[in-house]
Amino acid sequence: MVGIRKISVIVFITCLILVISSCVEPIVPELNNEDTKPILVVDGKITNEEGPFRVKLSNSVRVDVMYYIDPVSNAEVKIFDDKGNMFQLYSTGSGMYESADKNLKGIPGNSYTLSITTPDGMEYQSNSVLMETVTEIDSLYFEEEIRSVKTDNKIKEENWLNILLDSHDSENRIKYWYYEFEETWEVKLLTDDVPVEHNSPGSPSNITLENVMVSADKQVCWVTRSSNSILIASTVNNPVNEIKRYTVHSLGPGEDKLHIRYSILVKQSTLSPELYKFWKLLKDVNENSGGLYEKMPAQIFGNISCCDGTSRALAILPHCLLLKNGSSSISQIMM
Amino acid sequence: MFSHSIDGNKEKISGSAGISPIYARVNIDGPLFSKKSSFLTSFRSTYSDWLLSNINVPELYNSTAGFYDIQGKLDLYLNEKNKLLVNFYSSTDRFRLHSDTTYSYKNTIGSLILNHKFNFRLNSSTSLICSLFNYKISDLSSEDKSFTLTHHLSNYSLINDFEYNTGAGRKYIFGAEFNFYTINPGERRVIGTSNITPFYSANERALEYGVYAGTDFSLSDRLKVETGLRVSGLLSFDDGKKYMYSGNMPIEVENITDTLFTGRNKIQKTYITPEWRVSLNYSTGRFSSVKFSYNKTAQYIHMISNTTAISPTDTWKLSDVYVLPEKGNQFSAGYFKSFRRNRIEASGEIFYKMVDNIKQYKAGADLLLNDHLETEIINGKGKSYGFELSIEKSGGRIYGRIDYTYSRTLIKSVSEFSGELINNGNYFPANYDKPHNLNILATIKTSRRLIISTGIYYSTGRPVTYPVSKYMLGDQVFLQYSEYNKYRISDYFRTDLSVTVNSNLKKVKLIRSSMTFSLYNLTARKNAYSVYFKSEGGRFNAYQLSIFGTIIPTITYNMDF
Repeated sequence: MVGIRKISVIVFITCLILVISSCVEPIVPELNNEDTKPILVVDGKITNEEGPFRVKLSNSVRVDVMYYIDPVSNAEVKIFDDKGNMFQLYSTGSGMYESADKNLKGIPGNSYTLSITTPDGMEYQSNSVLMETVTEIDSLYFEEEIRSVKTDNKIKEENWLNILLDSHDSENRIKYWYYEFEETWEVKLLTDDVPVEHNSPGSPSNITLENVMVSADKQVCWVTRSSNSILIASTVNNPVNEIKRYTVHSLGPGEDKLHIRYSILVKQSTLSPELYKFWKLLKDVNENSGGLYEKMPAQIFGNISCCDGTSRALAILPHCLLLKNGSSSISQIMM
Repeated sequence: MFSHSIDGNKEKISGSAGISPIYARVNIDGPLFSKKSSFLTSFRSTYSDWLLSNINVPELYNSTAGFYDIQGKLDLYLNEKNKLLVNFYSSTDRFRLHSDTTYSYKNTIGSLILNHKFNFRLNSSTSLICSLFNYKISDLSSEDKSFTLTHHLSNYSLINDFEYNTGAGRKYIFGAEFNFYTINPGERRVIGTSNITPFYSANERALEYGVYAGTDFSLSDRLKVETGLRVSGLLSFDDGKKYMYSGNMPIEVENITDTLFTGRNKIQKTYITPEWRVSLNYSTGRFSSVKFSYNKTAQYIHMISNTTAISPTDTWKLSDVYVLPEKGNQFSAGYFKSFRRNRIEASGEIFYKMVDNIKQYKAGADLLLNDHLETEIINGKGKSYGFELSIEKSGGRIYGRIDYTYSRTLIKSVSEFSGELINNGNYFPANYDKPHNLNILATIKTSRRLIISTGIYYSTGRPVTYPVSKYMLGDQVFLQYSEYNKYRISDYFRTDLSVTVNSNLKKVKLIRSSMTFSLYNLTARKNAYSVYFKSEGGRFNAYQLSIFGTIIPTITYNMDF
């Protein structure tokens, strides 16, 4: 009797496991070669900060390979403004093109157009983009936050640091805001024993832990990183036209940036409605959380096209931005 | 019109029950009140939840799956001229697949139908129906990320149908119906300590009405005609808040010029559509006929579906000022023939349909918890065409049926603003476009006690949009997608097999029993439920989620009494 009961329980459980088994497996979509052809990617900004006009040209790569940089060299790049000026940009290597004059500034109120001729003779032209006026960041500050996170049925509490900003436009003209930041933090060599890699020809590389003498002035280093997500905001439906407590960046327990000294430089820019829509679409399609709130995927092209629009480039363009920077330095935060 | 569902047994109490490792069912029906009325009840349920909570296996740990439904029906004979049918149905589905998010769906329908015979020519049927649907998605695992997402649709209808027979082979039908809809587009509730923002919506309400008249008659002894007109319409009520958009700009959040707070009972928009239909049936022989038909229809309620999401969060939306009703014109022609004294029936049909205002979503559309869905939807044009072949053999030891359909549904987006067009305004396959569809069913009675049956199901995979290239802007890598719906997921194929053994039929027993052994998804094919992408170590990898992607054997013990 017991034997039968045991067997029926096993059958029962097996059936249950199979019924609710859902499985996830990788697939390799077969992509049409026409679709994966390289597309010209134009990455450039005109700002009111002093410096050369810079544009970076590259080609897109297939989605199913490891990403590699495919720069476009030997292209002819020109920027025109609506006051009759033409700025020629020269290649400085790796797909980067800079104007000869290193002290140029974009002028709010002017409109700029970009024109590119690629090595294979395709001529691209951007829409004419107006450079908007800008305003200052009111304040940049930080706040500590405690988040409870569940992993494997245990609830842990984590300490996070949020970097927030406030801004506004009292003249009520600026509705679309764009942020980018650069963070710099101090790292120190903690011990004298460091892993050293020995590479001798003909034999596999060998890593050993050795005691290395490092002079005092080389024991402290600084690392700098730029923002790697799209930070945009819109105050179009906000009658007071204020940005309050916008989270620019969040630092969590996995990072050692706050151990010694940390500084973040935030730049605020204004966007035209067309550019805001472009960034928002790019952000929605690429940075969505997945799961429930997934957004509709889409083909996104920028504001540069060639040959009566039969060919489009991926671009963000003189999205005339920039303005005054707000910066804040945080030091000696213990995590 | 007149409901023809299974009625309870008016002679004696009878029923059946079945039990398998995963679920159980029982139905009982019988006579009431001196055999002129009857009742019927049935109940089905899985009991996996209770068992799962007692098992310590990792895959099952965080999973739960349950379903139950219950139905009750009363067929009451009031007097010679009146019959009252009372019907109640409720079902609940719940599941959680190895994660912290629980999905649950509930359907409840109640109806009262009074069939009244005026005289031998005229009778009527009056129905009062209430139908409620809601779903709930919740994650209550961690205090600061907990939420409950809900969606609700309810529908109250009053329908009155009349049928008049002239006695000379001519029939007239006419009637009216009123349908009051209330939809809550979606709300997100959180508990006090949660960091998630709550979201509340006002209910959308509308009254759909229809008045119709039609007739069937024979033009000759070979030609029958059926024709009718239904005038349908919608009265859409204000839900308290309306956004106004600037006149000649696309409907987008950035172009909201004003938000009006209105009273809730004003009619904000009315629609009215005449829906014609005509069909001709011509007998080409004793056992064959040809049929032509034309139908015009209007639809005032739409399903908003995000098929790119891994989870089922389809919601419903009523037509209003911004969301126009869908209107379709359909033509079809068919040929029917039966052979061998009606043992074999074959038919072939072709159709063509054109739809206006078919709903299409803009790029990057945000369809969940959005109180201005009009900014995410554009109206499109659709066309659908194809043919259907089917052959069925009944009677004798072998029952078989083969249905094959070839159909295409293509949509194009229509807008005066080129920035809103998908695929440049060209036709592309709809999300549910599956060109080939084949279903084969066969049942063989090898003896009085043994029945084998099998089903084979095949359909082309549905369209999907894949990322095709990637590029870098600043320090970030971005994906570029293909044209919308240019690719397809893998095809769907499934075979089921079952063997039923009846108990010894020699004696007349009080309870007849049988055992059924069945194998679901015999070929253990992992049919794709959804396809999604994950960024892993510099690569974007594609994954396919399948549910029931393996052979599932079950044993069911059935009883009839």
